[in-house]
Amino acid sequence: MSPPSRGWKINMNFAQRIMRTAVGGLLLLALTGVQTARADNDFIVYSPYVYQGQTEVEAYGFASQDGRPNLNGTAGYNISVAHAMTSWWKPEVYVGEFNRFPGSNTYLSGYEFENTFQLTDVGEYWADIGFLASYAYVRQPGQPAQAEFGPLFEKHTGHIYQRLNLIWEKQIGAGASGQYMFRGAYSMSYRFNVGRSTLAPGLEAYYRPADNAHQIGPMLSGEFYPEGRSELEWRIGVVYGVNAGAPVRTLLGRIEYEFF
Amino acid sequence: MRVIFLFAALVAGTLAATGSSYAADEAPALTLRNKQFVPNELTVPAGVKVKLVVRNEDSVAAEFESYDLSREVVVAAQGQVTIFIGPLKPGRYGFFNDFDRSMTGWIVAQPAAADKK
Repeated sequence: MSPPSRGWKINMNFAQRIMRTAVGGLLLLALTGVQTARADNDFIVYSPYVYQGQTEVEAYGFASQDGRPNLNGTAGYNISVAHAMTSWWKPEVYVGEFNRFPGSNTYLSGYEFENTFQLTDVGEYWADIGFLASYAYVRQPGQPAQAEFGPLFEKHTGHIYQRLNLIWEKQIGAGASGQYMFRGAYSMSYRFNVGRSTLAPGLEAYYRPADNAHQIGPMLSGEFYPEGRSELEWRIGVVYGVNAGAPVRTLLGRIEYEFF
Repeated sequence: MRVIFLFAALVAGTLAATGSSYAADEAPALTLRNKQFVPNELTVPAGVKVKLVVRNEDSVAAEFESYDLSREVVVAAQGQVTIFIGPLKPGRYGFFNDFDRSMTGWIVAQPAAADKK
């Protein structure tokens, strides 16, 4: 039988972390009065977890293929560095976001300041919950900046790992559309150990109603522990368009080095 | 769009408000010391959610991982984390350090004394 104060204590803890996130989000929005913008190249399913003191260096990218000239050849890649300042807050700086549209060259489109907040302890609730809040600066003149926010969920069931992101995007600053654009991202994988590595075949799915572009496809990811104190993560795969607005296929790749 | 946002808020709110049955106030602890889990076998009550502290006294980071318990968490060197496990059925549940898989241990879930009678 649990003491009557137990649930209240945990709920207060949760509420305090919600407040921290809200304050962080407001501070972020307060910094976004600058006129900027960026292209959307988010092919990633975020984890809600934050490990205090851990540093991450990450690169991920995509390339779309389609018979239609307005979609074929769209590509992009990002390079970022993150460091978890506390057990619940991990800021990440995208030092370069590069994009290429069909028929044009790759260009540096902007930078991004992203924050992950872990809201619950691992296993505290049915799923583990985090929150994402980011601000993207775009170098192209006359383009508005963009803020992103939304909850992140992760659930482990034996060898099966699942993630769900519900993200809202909003342009901010002069020239902003004022509309909220939603995207959902989901991943599921089956993890197993091979020597000092972990392999995880699975799938990823992206739901982008604002672009009328929905995609799903197989993914293979893995982890390798080169020194016992660091971790190399990678992921490759392809997602296929499931409606007419999406590219026929998009190749995805990601590599990340994590260390303390 | 608004419906999806409200749904997300509802899910988060429900999870925050949901009461769970927890074990006793004093959270059991697992310690990583000299590249071993101490204790190597930890007994917890079956049938309730258990708050577990994982401490790392070693000079390198570790990753507490268990497919049996459906848990994975990184613990910095000289750091500690809190996780929740269960409610578990009576039995033995293996775990390991994913950064050094020679380090293994067991969680043993035992029925409460009243349940054994």
